[in-house]
Amino acid sequence: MKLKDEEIVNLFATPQTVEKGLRAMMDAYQSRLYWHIRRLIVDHDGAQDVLQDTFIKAYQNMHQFKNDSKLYTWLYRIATNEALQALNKMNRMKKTDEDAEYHMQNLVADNAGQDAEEIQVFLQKAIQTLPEKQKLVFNLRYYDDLPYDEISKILDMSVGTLKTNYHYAKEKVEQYIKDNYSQEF
Amino acid sequence: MPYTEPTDDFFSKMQANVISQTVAKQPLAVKKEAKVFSLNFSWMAAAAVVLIGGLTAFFSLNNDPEVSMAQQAPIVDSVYEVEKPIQNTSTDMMAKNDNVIPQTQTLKTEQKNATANAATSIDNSSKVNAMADRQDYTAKNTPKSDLDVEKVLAAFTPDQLKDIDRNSEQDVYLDLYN
Repeated sequence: MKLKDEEIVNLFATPQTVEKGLRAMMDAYQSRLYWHIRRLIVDHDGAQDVLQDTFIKAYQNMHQFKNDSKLYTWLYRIATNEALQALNKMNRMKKTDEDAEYHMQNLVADNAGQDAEEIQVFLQKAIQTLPEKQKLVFNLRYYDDLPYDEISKILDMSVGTLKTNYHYAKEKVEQYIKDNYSQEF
Repeated sequence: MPYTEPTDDFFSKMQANVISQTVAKQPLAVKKEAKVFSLNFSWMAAAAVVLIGGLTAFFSLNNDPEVSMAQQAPIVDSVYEVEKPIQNTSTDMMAKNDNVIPQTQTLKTEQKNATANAATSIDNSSKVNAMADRQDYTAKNTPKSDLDVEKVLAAFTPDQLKDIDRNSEQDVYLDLYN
């Protein structure tokens, strides 16, 4: 049985039910968070580490969670921060001098499945060319289908700024596909 | 999505890792809720009474010497004010005394002549003499100027001034001077 956010949070109130609450929270949000992280990190193992860290952070800071925001909004915020930190760490540890954008595009190609649609791979490569903020807004709006007011809480940005970022991101992706898709295929 | 799907046991393994690093390892900082006290009206009223009583006792039983001196300052004024009329009455009485003494002398001369009125005249003269004696006494003890009065009062301790004030209130002869 799927528990509501409020019931999950209440399970964290007593030590006897903490584990049950943590499991319920992971059952409810692990898949959505995994794919959100995966689109940013691309690498499966990296996404796994970030997902684990997200739930550990959520567990450690559950006493700071206020019920005035939704649990998944809070979890998305933690996951986004963890993913960005992991990306920065990856960029710092990168030994080669290759461009970060180029590196991420190669990573998309390496992680693509055998039966993956080429246009989908190309779309992911196009997303990797976007600046960080535009990438986040585009993913949350296009793939997670989140409303702007929720994205605003996750990314701590105004709705107007989000709409502008999404508009520019969409234009860039379209332009990238127009410029490169016909050349490759 | 173009990426390969995670394996079936991926999430269960991930959950096991998270549990082993959280619940099994470190206890959760459980949010402590503040205790809520239900305030009874009778308790509030009792507390208010105790508070008022305590504050009253605190301020009334304050025996700080400086404070007590400050509190006694008006007493000095009252003594001074009490003394003033005495001074006035004494000078008045001294002036009157000049008139009274000749009257007594005439009474005394008349006493020799009139034996019928002797008793009453003696009584009168004795009363007047007593008053005159008292006037002399007060006149001797009364300071000549305000400065002298202040010097005398300054020489008194606060307790002595209190006694003087109390005595002046109880002095029945003060009524006679008014």
